[in-house]
Amino acid sequence: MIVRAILAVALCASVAAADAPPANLVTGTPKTGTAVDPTFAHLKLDRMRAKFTEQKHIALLAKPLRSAGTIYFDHVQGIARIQTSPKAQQVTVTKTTLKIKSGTRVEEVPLDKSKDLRAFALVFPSLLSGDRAALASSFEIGLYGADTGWWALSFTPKSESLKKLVTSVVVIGQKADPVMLKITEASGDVTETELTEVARDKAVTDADIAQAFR
Amino acid sequence: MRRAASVVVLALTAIVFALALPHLRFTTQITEFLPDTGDRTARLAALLADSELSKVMIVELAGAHPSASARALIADLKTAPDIAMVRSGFTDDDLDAMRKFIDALAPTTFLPESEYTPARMRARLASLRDHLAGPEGVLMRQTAPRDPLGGIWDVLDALRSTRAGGLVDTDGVLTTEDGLHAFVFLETKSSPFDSNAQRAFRGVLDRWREAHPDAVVRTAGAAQYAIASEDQIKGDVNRIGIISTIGILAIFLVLFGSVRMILISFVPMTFGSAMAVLGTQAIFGQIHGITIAFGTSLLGVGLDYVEHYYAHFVLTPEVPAQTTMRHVGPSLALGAVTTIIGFIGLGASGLGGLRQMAVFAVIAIVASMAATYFMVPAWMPARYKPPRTLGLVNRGVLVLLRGLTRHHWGRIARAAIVVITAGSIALAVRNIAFSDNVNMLVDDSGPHVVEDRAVRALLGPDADAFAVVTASSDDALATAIASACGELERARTGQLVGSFVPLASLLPDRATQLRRHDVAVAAAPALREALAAEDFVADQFAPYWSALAAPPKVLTLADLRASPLAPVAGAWFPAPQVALIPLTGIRALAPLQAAVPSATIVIPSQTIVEAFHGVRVRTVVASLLGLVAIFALLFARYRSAKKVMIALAPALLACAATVGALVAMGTGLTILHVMSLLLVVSLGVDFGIFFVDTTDSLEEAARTMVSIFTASITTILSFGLLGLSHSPGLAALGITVTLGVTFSLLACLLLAALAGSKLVGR
Repeated sequence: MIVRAILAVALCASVAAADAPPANLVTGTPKTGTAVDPTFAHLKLDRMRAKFTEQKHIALLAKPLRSAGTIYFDHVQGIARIQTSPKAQQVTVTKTTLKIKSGTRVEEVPLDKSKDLRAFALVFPSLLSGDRAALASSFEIGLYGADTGWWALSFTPKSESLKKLVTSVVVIGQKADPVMLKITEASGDVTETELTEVARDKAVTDADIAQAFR
Repeated sequence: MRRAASVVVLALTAIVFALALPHLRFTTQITEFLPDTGDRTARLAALLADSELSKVMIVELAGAHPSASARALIADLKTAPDIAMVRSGFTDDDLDAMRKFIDALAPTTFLPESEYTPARMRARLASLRDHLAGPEGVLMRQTAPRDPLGGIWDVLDALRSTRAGGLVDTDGVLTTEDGLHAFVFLETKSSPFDSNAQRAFRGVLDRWREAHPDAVVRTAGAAQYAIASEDQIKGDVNRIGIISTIGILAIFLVLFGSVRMILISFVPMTFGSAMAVLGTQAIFGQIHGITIAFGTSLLGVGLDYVEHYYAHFVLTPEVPAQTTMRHVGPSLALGAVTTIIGFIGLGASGLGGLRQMAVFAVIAIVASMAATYFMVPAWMPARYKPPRTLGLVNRGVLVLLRGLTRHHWGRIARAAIVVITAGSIALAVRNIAFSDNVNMLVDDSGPHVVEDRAVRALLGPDADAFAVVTASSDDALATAIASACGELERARTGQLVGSFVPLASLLPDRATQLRRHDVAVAAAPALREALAAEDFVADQFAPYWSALAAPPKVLTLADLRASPLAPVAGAWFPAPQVALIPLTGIRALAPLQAAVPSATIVIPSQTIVEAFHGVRVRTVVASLLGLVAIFALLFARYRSAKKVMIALAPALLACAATVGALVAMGTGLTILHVMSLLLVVSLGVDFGIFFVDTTDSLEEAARTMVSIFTASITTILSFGLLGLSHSPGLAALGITVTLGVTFSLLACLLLAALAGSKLVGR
């Protein structure tokens, strides 16, 4: 449960806006191992804030589901996704808990409920802190392009149980800025998220963080 | 000739006992002391005591890494002998198996018919769309094609609502929210009341603990009560056995002055005990620890016959041993028969444990009486010089009797004594407070109890009560559960109960499942319209349409029991055709019971109390009937109401005085006190019979009083020590019988005083 929340909330946080990537970016054989370290180094953040727009292409639905809002990252508190449309919803992810506030309804789910959820919980703090080793325990990591220009990090689940939920997660960026993420679920559904108006580290105030995580 | 016969009998008994010894089975199972009279309350009490709720042991792990310790313990115990089940929370594999099981059922299984209206279907589909967009969308996405209306989530929510609050399932390990305590649940193949098996398992656990010094391990469950109970009983038996043996030896040595007679005196009770053990094992297949403890104390009673005989033999050494036995034998036999009648009453109490004790006692008494009559005289010394001590005691008693009988009590004085006695009895009876809240085998201050409570407290509050639903078949049970849950829901709305486990949501009855399927088939066109209206693509739900086209697979109780949900559902279905619906927050029992006629509302502690109330009443009735039988027996023997009353007087007076003393001590009388009073009556009647039968002269009356005195001392030595037991049951037995025997002795003296010069030659 909650996989999409973690992916949508946390991966969004690692992406920053930029121009469109080349169409053939994610092709060929990716680089692996220590070759991806320089890219990870660019993703290391203390805080971040960005606007997001998201489209979910779900085969069950005739039209894609669209949403938008603001996402916050704090290396101590975790990630908060404040959705403003089509309806208000606040999702916060800490190291231990996922909390969803929708209207008056509040749902809390412990993230350590299963090893798959824990793997996801570790992905995004690890990604944003540049910790490749932690991610490598649950995902095959591949790098397309180079950190000097456009790049794409692909995460492919290693465990069968994770594979039943998610086929791949791809984070696309340019130099130091992640700009887009794409989640492909085992069902074939795809979620694409773009980030704009990115503010990093000291540009994000204590008040912003306090408001986002309240 | 008799010597040779007795040697043969004793040798044969010893051989049989030695052969049987490896096959003797001992138990401390508490259910033996639960009523088994077959009435509904008794059955419910037994059901609760023997349900999974009592079979599962809880192991709490704290220390440096509780979750890791729990995983290590589970891994190690899975290969340990005698382990039937060991788990903590639910692993991903468990959850996957549960999901697959539920997925294989008809998608209409759990969704109420009322949800198939156009408005409700659209509301559910709108909710599905929201969820697909939200964090839980990935999981919803997996189930939605086969279950667009989300019936499966309703049942999973119902299951989740049953889990104890404040606990977290961390990747298959259940912990407290702070993660400082992890829990492992296990069940052994052996009964939790099989103390030998549980002791062996404790050894496994102790070795694991030694190998994992970082882990702090505590446990809760019936097994530790069984072990502690056995340890306690063994300790009591050893202490009572050793001290009472030493005490009895000392008394015999002082009074009878013959090692040979001491050795002979032990023959009847050893023989009686051996026969009782063999007989009990043969009849019941096992012997309860309490029976053994009780039997140890019975040694003192078995000695009474020998003592009475010795007193007369020793104080008239010129009379041949066989002649003395022929003289006192009828009194001994009568005493034994009246005691047996008393124990038959005990057997009618309705408790398996007490029935076993009664059988044990009857066999022990018959055997020891037979040994006393047939074996003892043959081995008595031909030339015997009584010690001065017995002569001194005898003379002292003679002087006492002379003093007591010198005074002639007038009619008025005697009437006054009778009135005072009757008034005292009435006062005592009026102030009797009965308690059926017995805690017979448990010393509730013991460390095993403290640890049990501490571990359970960490797991959160238990259910206050249960709605017990029964039926004649699994299908009928599911129907009855549906009725009961409907009534409970109305009771919850009426605030008669805080919450209950919605078993009907988890196991709808067959007719309901079929009806739901039919309603879903009929609603299919409307569902297609609703799907389109909510922007869904109806053809993407092919698995659902296929399921509607196929005959529905009905979920049965048998399916549930064999499913991955069994670890969750097992506790709710403890026996065939029985369901327990846990309840919390009961405001008042009577209105709730009235509101839920389809089930019996049971508060476990109250049910046990009610069951024991019934047992106590039956025991009192059986005791009164026993008393009538004893009266009839004595009347047949004496043909004199006056003699019968004299024979019964010590018992009745002692019984009344004992009750008075217990009331004065503020003790609530339990079933064990009632049972002990039965023993007091039996012993007191023995004294009364000796008193009536062997008082032809003042000298003989003195000898009889000496025998009663020594019998009282030896009995008190046994039962008095039982009174020091930490087991509330044994302590109640000991204190009551000690008081009763003491009062019986005093009553004999009072009778002697009242009889005056008429004491002898009646």
